[in-house]
Amino acid sequence: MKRYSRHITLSEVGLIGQLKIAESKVLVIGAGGLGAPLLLYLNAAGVGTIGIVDFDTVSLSNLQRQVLFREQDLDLNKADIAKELLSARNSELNIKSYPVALTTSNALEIIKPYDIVVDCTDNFRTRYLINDACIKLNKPFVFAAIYKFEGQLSVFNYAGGPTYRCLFPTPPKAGEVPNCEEAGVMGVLPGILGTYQANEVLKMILNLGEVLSGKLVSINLLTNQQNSFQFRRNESLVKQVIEEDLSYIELNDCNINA
Amino acid sequence: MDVTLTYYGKLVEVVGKSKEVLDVEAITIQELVIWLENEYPDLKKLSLKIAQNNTIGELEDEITSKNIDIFPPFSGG
Repeated sequence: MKRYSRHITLSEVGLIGQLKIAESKVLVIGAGGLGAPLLLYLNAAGVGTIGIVDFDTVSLSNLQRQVLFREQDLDLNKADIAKELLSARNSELNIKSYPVALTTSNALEIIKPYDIVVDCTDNFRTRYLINDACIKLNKPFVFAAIYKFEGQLSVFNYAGGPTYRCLFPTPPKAGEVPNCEEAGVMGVLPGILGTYQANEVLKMILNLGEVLSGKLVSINLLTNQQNSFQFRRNESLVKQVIEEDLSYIELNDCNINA
Repeated sequence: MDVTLTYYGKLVEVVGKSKEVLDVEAITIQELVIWLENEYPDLKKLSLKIAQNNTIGELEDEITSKNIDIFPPFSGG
């Protein structure tokens, strides 16, 4: 516990709080720009069980922002290498890698054992799948998404709070919203948003402060402006998600390519 | 009443500015959407949300705030 002494000294955390962190199980979906800082901080904080889902391999253009990875990691699976790198930094923790894509057939099984899910993906198809699976399993999930110099942040499905579909009911059409590859992205942007996600995860575990539920925070790095927009849960939409199969939902409202 | 519209993300590129001031009287969010789609036809194809007083309301709500935020979903990660 000596390595966590700066946490334990905080009266808001203490030994009991640190034990809560050690007992928590967090699933990180996407080990990219958002996932890299998030994983480093959750690992450093002593989150007892961390799951990492990513089917992709490290490429040279990832290194500009995905600060977890090194040149020697090129072409290796991101989930597997992230597990190895995190274990070397904190060997006491249980870290599990899932070097697969999250799909309608494996999402429920992968998410089920975890307390908190973090959406660090880069496409709408997986974001809506995470949303719907978390509704079905009644798990909270911490969301962030980025565009060039701007980010969005929220915590969905937390203690009966609204979900991503309550904000944007259906996925945008293919090509409507460019990803980082198409639009470019300032490297520090996912660093900042991923760190905010780690902060929300730890607040939820420790029951500290005000969890960012029912509000979307919008951050602009060029103006340093932050705005927060309140929105409500759409109960009938949530009910539809609970009643339908994940594969049915995806086929019927998600005509985009991942 | 002068209302300042603030655009976010890709919408800034679509409308060609990050802010603009509109002089409006007693219009609803729905009527603002119609005005936006007439002024910027490319917006018709995009998902967007409109907030006033930092709250996302209903389309039939009347605009009472001087500051309106208009944003799309982001996908990057």
